[in-house]
Amino acid sequence: MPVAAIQFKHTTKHYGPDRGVFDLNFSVPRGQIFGFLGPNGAGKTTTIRMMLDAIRPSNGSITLLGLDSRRDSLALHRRIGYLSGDMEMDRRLTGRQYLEYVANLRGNVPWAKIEKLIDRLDCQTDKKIAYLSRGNKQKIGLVAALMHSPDLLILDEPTSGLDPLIQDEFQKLMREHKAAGKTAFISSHVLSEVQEVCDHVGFIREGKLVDVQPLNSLQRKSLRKVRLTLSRPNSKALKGLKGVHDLQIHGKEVSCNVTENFNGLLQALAKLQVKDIVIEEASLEDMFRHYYQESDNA
Amino acid sequence: MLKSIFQKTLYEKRWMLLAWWVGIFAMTLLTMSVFPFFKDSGFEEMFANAPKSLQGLLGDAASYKTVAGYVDQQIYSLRIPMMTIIMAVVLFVGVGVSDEDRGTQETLLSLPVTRSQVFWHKFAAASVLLAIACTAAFVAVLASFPLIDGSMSLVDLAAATFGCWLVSMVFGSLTYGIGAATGKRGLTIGAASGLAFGTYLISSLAPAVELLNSWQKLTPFYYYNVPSIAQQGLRLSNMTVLLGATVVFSLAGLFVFRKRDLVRD
Repeated sequence: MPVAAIQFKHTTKHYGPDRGVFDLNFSVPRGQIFGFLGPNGAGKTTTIRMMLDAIRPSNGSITLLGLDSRRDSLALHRRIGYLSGDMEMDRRLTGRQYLEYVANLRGNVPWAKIEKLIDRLDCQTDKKIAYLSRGNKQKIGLVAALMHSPDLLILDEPTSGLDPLIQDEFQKLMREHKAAGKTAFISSHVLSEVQEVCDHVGFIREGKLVDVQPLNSLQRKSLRKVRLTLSRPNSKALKGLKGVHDLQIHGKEVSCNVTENFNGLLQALAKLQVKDIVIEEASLEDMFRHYYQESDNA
Repeated sequence: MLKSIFQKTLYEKRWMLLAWWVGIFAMTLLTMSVFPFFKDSGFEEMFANAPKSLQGLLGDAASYKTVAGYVDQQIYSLRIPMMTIIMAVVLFVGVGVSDEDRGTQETLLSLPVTRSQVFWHKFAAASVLLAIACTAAFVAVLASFPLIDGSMSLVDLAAATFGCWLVSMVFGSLTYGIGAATGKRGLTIGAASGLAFGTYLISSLAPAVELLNSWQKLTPFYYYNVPSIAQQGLRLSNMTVLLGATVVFSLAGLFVFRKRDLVRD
C-alpha cells in the first residue's frame, strides 16, 4: 500500500480547553492537491505550524512523505516548500537577495530555474521586500516555495493578494505540480482559491475537522441554489420541505438551497403558479456554510 | 554574499555596526583628548579631600596621572563597557527574539536548517559584530596617542578591549538565552536590561556599601576589571568565569529553544 503524503493520527494541539486543534485524523494520498478550508481562527495555521515543526502536537503525530514531522524535520524540510500566510520574509533584503539566500540554504537550486519562476509569476525582485505590496511579496514567497520542485507544498492562503492573471499562472503551476505526482496542502478561507485546483477538500471549524470530501463528490452531492418568482405570494407552501434549506421568502420572490433530492420542492411547486425559476450550482462558499450549519444542528 | 545565516546576519546588521563603531570611537577619542587636563590638574588633592565612599566610586586618583591608568578609569571602567553592553542587548535581541516576533524565524526554520544551526549562526554573527564594535575603543585610544603625547602597552590595551568584549558577551548571551528560551521580546529586553543595570549598581556601590560586598561576586563586573586589565593585564580566572557564564547562558537558551513551540503574535 503506498505511503500517504500526509497522515494526521489523532493530532491535537491545546492552547487551553477550547483553543487549538483537536483529534485531527485524516490522510492525503500522494499526487493530490488538498484544500484545507475554514474560517479565520478555525485552526488552519496551527495545523500547518505543526506540520512544519514550528509547534509540537500535544498528542498524536503527523507523518509527511513517510517521515515524522518532528523527528525527521530536517530531511522533510528539504522536500517541502512552504508559503506563509503572513509573508514573513526578511524585509531588509531585496526580492532577489532573499531568493538567493533561500537557494543557498537549500543548496543545489539552479538560478535559471528560479529566473523562470520569477518570469512566470512576474516578480519584482529589485526592491527591498519591506517596500513590496502584499501581492508582490506573495509572488516572491511562491518562488521561494517552488524553486526546488518540492515533493510537498504547504501553502497558507497562497493567492489572496494575487491579480487574476497571476492566479491563473498559479493554477497552472499547481496542475504541473500534480502532474509530476507531487502533493500540495493549501489552506484557505476563500473557497474559490482552492476550487480550481483541489482534488479533495477538508473543512475545519473550531479546531475540529468537520469533513473531508473529494471535490467532485461535493459538487455531485451538491447543493443547488434555487430562485423562484411566484405569481402570488405564498409563504406556507414551501416551508418544511425535505431537502430544502435556507428558505427566504420576500413576497413573490423565493430563494433556497436544495440538497440531493428535488422531489419535495417539485411536488410543492406543482401546486403553485411559478412565473420564473433559476437553478444554479451552489458555490463552495454556500456548501461550506451548509456543512457548518449541519454540524451545528448535529 | 548571503551564503549562510551567519553571513546574512552580518550583512543585515552592517549599518547598525557602523553607527555603534563610530559612536564608540568618537566617545573614546573625546575622552582621551582631555587626558592632559586630568594629568596636570590637582585632581589627586581633590580626591584626597573627598569622602571615603565617594573615593571608592571614583577609583584610584593616582592612576589618572598615567595613560594606562586614565584609560582604565575613564574608558574601560564604565563608559565603553556600558556602551558595548547596551549594544550587546540590542544586537542579541535583534538577531534572536525580534526575528521570532516578526515571524521570519519561522519562515527560516521551514528551510532545511536545524534550530541549533540557526541559533549558533546568529550567535556567532552577533559575537563577531560585537567584537568589531569593541575594536573602535582600541583604535581610538591608539589614535589619541599623538594628540595626548603619551602611550601605553598595546598588549594591555588589547587585553582590556578583549575583557570589554567578554563582559559584553555575558550580557549578550544572557539576552540571547532569555530570548531563545521564552520567545518574548518585551520580557527579554526587560529582564536583560534589568539584570545589566542591577548588577552594575551592585558592582559600583559595593566599594562604598559594605552590605553589597558579598553580592558583588555574583556580578559579571566583578570578574571584568578587578584588578584593572589596562594596567595589570588579563587574569585567567576572571576570564574563565566570564567565558563560562557566556557558554552557560547560551546553552541554557538553546536547550529550551530546541524543545519549545515558536511564538507567534
